[in-house]
Amino acid sequence: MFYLRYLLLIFAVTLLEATVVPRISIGGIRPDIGFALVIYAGLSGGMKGGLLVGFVVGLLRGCADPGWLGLESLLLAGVGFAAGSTARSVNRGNPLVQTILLALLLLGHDLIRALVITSGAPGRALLYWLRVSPATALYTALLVPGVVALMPRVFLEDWRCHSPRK
Amino acid sequence: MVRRGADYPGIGDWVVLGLVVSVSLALLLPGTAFRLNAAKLLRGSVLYPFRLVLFFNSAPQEPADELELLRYELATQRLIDSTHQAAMQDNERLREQLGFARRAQHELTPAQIVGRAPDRWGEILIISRGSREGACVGRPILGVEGLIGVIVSTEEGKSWVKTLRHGALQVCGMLQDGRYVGMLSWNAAQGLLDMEGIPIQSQVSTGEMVITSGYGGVFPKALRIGEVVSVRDDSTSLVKHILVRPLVDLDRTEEVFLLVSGAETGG
Repeated sequence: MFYLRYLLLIFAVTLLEATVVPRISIGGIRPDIGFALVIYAGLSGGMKGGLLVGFVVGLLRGCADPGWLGLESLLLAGVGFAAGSTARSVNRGNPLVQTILLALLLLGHDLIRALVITSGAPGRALLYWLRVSPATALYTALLVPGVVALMPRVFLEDWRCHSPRK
Repeated sequence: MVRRGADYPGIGDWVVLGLVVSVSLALLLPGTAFRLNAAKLLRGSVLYPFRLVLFFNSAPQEPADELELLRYELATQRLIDSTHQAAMQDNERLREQLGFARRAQHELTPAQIVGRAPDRWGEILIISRGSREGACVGRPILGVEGLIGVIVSTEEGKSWVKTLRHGALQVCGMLQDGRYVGMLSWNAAQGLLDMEGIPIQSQVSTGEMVITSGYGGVFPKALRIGEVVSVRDDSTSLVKHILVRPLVDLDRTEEVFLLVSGAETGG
């Protein structure tokens, strides 16, 4: 059920990224909802769920820019795994936790990606990273948890079952 | 936030992690040709359903009506015009050397934009011409006004174009009047192209046209890219900070042109 749900969500996110997301960009910066989906897959489906959803989303992105095919699937799988590994140790239903997790993982992912794409040139990588990542992380981390809070069952179906006891 | 204790990965998690890492590295480490073929195979097989989501636009049509024909003619004329301007400048400078700047005739093949690939690092367009129509990786794509980008992947009937608005695309440009050469890359925050490497002592004015330099062999010389909108001297640097506005407005572009031949000959 988890995989079917997330497969449909990947379809929906792919469509949104090609249609709606460019229209809501601010100063050329757009939210990375595909990345956010990987985080929520990790939070909802654990390490394995995050890994596989990250791999598929990364593969899709790689096919659009095959010069780096494999890089994004590797990085997003890692992001999904990392998100999944935190799923039980944090209150994943809390939008603030989601915001912090999203921002930190996006910044880390982008930094590694920038370093690989610039062949390890730190100056160029930092410039490349600074131009896009902090603003994207802020936009994504502010936008997506708010949307998810409106329909938590879709993204975090079982988070209530696993939420920590007080 | 209430902590509940760490969640340790089980055997299944490690096995899936190993598989995913292995497959990703197997795709990443071989050469570019392998990755292009693998992407083509994936798009045509396991990822095929996602193509239906991406290609939401209407089916591509041949440019039959008058407006499209006129746009085609306009693009062709502008391309010839920009090439001639560059040739005249070359001739003035190198008139002693007969035959230095003979240029090949460029040919344009019209294509329609049929989709936009999601990529927040920049804009990747999907166009209606593929390997069957002569598109191949590295071919420049033009709009009516000037350069749009370069093909990064192709298959029968479709190609993926990395545009000037993509952070990973760098184009070697030249100031048309000043003849200084610099690298152009997308500055998402400004919505303009950064031109780097122009010496601080050079004379650059706003409105000056920037064209392709022809260096590197990807883009032929003298394709129009954009015009300078801002020139700033930085006292701590040896180069100028130049911003260039691309001539093509990608948000309003529906038809593009594939540059089928554009290599220079001679000299």
